[in-house]
Amino acid sequence: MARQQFAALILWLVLAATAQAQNTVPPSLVAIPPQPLWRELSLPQRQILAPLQEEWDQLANYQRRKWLGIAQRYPYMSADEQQRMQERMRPWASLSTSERQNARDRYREFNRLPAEEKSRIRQHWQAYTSLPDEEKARLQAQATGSDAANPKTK
Amino acid sequence: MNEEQMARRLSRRLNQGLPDLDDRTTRKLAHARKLALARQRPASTSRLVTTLGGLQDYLFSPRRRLLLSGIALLIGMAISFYWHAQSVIDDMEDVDSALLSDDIPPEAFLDKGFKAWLDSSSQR
Repeated sequence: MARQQFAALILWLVLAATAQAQNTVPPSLVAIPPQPLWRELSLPQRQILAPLQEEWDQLANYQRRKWLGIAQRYPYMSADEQQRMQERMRPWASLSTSERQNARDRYREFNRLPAEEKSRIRQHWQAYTSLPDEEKARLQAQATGSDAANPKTK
Repeated sequence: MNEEQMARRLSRRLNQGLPDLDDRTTRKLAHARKLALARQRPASTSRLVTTLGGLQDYLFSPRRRLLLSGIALLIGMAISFYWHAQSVIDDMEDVDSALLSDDIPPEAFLDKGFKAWLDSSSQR
């Protein structure tokens, strides 16, 4: 009996680790203990994380833990930062794990750039958003085509 | 010569004179042996010693030892997984809180067209 339970535990660990690995997140994240459900959150936490209310109970434990950490930092952000955070929470949570991971990797690279280069990219973004939609679509198709031809250059 | 051989030789030498011992000495020896055994028995059957011995047998039987090392391995794995997971989450929390509150939106890092446009404009 004990041996069967032991074998089942090992099997569960292996399966959970494999499932996590397929989602491109480190397998160790299965070790995060269960995190509170929406109704178990404190009032300030619910107010900060309000955009995530609908999907909260379906989020993985590690994601809930991360959002709770962000909620702790929230009161120390400026009013502008708080507003941007509120607006972006939901769209961010609805991205796929690999999309989020790619964006994080590129943001890390961006942060390593010198200040002038960063402000150049910020200005370019403003200019890019004002391009006509057809031009943006053409650039996206071009980038996707070159990605497919040469998948290593992301 | 090891200890066992030495003991065997000694007992053989002691046994050599046995037939020549007189009755009185034999009786005295028998009495002394009885006394020694009587004193030894309670010590060896003391409850504490029995319990400890039993516990040792229980814990260190080959099957138990395997089970215990398996449990120790699992606990070690869980601790190292937890420690690693916590550092991954801390890192994610750092990046996400900065990325989501930055004045350049996350779309700038998701949009492949923007990256292509940026690359081409820096080559110009």
